[in-house]
Amino acid sequence: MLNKDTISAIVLLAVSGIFWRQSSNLTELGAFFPKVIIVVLVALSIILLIQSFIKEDPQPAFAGVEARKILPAILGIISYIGIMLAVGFVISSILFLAVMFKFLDNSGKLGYIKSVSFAFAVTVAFYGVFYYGFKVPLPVGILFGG
Amino acid sequence: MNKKLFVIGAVFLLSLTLLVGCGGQDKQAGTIDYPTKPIKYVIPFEPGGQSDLEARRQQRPLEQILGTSIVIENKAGGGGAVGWAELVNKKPDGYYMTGINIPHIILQPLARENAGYQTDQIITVALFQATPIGLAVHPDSPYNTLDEFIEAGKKNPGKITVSGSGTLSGHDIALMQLEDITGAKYQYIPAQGAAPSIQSFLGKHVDAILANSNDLVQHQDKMKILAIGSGETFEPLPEVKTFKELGIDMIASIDRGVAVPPNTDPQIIETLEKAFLEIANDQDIQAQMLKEGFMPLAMGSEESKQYINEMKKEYSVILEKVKK
Amino acid sequence: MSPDIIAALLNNINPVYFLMMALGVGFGIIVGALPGLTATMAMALLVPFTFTMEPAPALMILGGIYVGAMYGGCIAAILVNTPGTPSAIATTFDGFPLTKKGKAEHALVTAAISSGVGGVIGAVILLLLSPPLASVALKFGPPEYFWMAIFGLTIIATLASGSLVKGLIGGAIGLLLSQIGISPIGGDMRFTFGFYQLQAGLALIVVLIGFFCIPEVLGMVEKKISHIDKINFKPQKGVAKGVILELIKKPVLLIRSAIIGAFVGIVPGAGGNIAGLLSYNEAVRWSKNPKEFGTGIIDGVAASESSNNSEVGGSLVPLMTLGIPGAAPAAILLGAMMLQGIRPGPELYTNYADITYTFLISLIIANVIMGVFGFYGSRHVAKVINLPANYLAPMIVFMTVIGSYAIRNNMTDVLIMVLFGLIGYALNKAGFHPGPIVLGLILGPIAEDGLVQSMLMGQSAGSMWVVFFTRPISLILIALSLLSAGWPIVSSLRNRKKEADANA
Repeated sequence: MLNKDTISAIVLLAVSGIFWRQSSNLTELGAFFPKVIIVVLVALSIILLIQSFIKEDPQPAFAGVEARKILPAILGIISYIGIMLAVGFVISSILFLAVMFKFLDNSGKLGYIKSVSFAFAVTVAFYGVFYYGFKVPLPVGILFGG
Repeated sequence: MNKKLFVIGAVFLLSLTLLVGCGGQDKQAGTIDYPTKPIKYVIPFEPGGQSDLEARRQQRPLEQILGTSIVIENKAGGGGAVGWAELVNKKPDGYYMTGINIPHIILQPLARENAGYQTDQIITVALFQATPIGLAVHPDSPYNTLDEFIEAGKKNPGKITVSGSGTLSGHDIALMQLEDITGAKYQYIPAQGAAPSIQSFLGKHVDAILANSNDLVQHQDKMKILAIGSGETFEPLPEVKTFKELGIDMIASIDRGVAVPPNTDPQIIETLEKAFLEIANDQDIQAQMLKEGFMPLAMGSEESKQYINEMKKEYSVILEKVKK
Repeated sequence: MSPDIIAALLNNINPVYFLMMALGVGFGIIVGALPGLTATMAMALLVPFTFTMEPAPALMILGGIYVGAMYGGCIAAILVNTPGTPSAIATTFDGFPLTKKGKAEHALVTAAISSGVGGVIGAVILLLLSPPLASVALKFGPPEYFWMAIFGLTIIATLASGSLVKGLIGGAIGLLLSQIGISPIGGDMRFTFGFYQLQAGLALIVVLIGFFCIPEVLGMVEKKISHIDKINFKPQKGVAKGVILELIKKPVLLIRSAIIGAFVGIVPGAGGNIAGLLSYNEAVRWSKNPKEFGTGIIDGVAASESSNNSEVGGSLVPLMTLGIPGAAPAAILLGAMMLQGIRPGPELYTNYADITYTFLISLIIANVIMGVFGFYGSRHVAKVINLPANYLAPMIVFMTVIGSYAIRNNMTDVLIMVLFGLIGYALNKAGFHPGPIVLGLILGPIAEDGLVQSMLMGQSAGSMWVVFFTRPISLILIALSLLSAGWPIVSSLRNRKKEADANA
């Protein structure tokens, strides 16, 4: 299997390629600096690529990571934002917090009612502080006319 | 959506008058009860900028006139474009308005592939403040008059550096206009904002500067102002001649106002227009503005629309020429 | 002492003024501690209230917020590895490792004292040295900004723990990300990939929250038994005394950092983030044990915090003497002065001397108040970390969402924050640290502006060489860059020689 540095270098070269293509239709002054950066990035990535073949990588990237823990957490964060876009800050936050409090609880002692009510309290308190204290109206979501 | 609301409202009021038995004299059919909740006033620039401070000056008086609270929100980015793109996609219910700047709202859609909005999607409520753009040089500069400056720009094209704020901005376009009319050529050095531009000028890293009137007023003792882009003599700087008076037919100014989303009910626009014009015509506020170096304006919705259309035509011509 | 200064001192003893300022400092600390809320925003909120106030207390309360917010940023940096304000980036490097070791209170007390000391030094510099320093600030033109950014980039050598190549790649990634949005010169829409929202570019704080915070949260939950369970904080006796005694032994560290901070502040456009990173870099370079930095030592926290708080005083130098706001909060102060009918510049020290000196002295006092608040609050604030991970991790995510939204009231920023959070997590695992990336992101626009403006100047002058390589401050910056870039080589050679001597 490829080691993490090889993969990083290949990904970086691909990203450089995409950015280079994007900078082709810019004006001369607008494209100058980005092109300099991309050239440097490509050069460094090639060095990393060569290094990755010479040096053995001591540790795989995700050593000791529990897929059963991390994947739901990432999924949870992504769905949190998705739900927020639809129904706004308050509902999505209560949902996210309640589910996560429970999911991450290793002791297994946390009850549903406790986790939901704590999530509710945190969300409402922060919403209030931001709305009235800092005059930041948090998003209300597409369904409610945001 | 709005027509429906209008019809429902009309029917409701009509039945109300029938029920009561006599026509309500002060309430005409179709009157919308507005405003009934807080109004968002979005400033598409950072807090602390001229647009932001003007909004904060208006906040209290607006609340008094409209009888509701005004919530100022900053949505900075892309020279204002992000805020305006959001404005034109908002519900036209009168509870969301955004500060606008001319020429920004004209130039961005003209110059960018996808600014996120079109100029005519922005429904101007009022224009209330302007900063004419002036041209200035250092006190020890060899150029004492606009004529000398233009002569030098013709003799040594591109040798004189002129600082300003932003590319394809009010300052950039003003210099293009000057070059277009006179045939002189300068090297424009765009800074990221008014403060860095002033700094570059005061540090003598550039030969001349195009700056807004408030900055000119503030720094007047450290510069020679050659001309200013207002239509008539600019009150806070009475000695400075306008470009027009000096025989160059151009107006250069940044105008600030407020706008609502497309399809907003005319009654709502009228209510807001009245409130903003009342503040704009306030003697104390006008005096305060002049002292700070701003030109008070009081242009209503219709007048503003015409003004914007005129400017758009003028700028399109200049941009076409520059592209060639 | 001139009568103005005596009158100003008396004003500061006025209990009403004093109370308002203390409130301002407290409010500022809270705002600074919450990622996404900035000093600028908090000050702007208060501007309408200051209309009706006298000029002196109006400026005092705004100054109090500025000072408080600059310190507050360290709290989130130390406790959850998320800079509450960009200025606290360098505070995370050693502050969070200290928390992991159970020494959150050590870090917080260090931050409070260093911030106070740095802030007072900065304010004194503002009070006494403004005019000569302002003329230095004016000497910074486009070429100087370019070279300053290059000098800043040489810090990567320090920030890249482990692989230098990866550090440099991180810097390049940051620079490239900074290019998203409208180009400063030319006006192109760059790398927006068809999204009009991206013409605003990436907000620094949004990327910061994503890069620093999300990977940390995911790190908390990725293992069966999360490591944060093991690192709770137990209040100990005598921590504060111990920290003070240790800091007293390091006056050079505190003063050097404060001077760097004030100087960076004077240059308009260079902010507390650069100040903190630069003085952290110098602290590493001058240390006898540079390897200990990053593992959780109070020196790292002290360097960053002393510097970013003295930057406040520095950033007001161009405002007070020239009327040029060097930073966003200074722009608010300028606005507040204008609305009061005061025009910043030389007149401030003549016609409005009473107001000016009252304000300047109040900044010194505000820093003392801030230090006291921070000092006594540390123990209580540190307890936050004792929340079990199943509560703490989701709540941090919740805060990051609020913070990234609040900065520009924009949902796009929340999406960007989460996206960069996940990218940051992957990059972390691949051995790329966030430090160099955010450094690139901060310095990218400064470098580009300077470079392209200088090129335009060169075109007009007919010679690029003259613009880039003949100006005195540029030459100093070039020399510093070369020294800084060459330093790791020199020190490794020196170490090798030492080892050789030891073996001989």
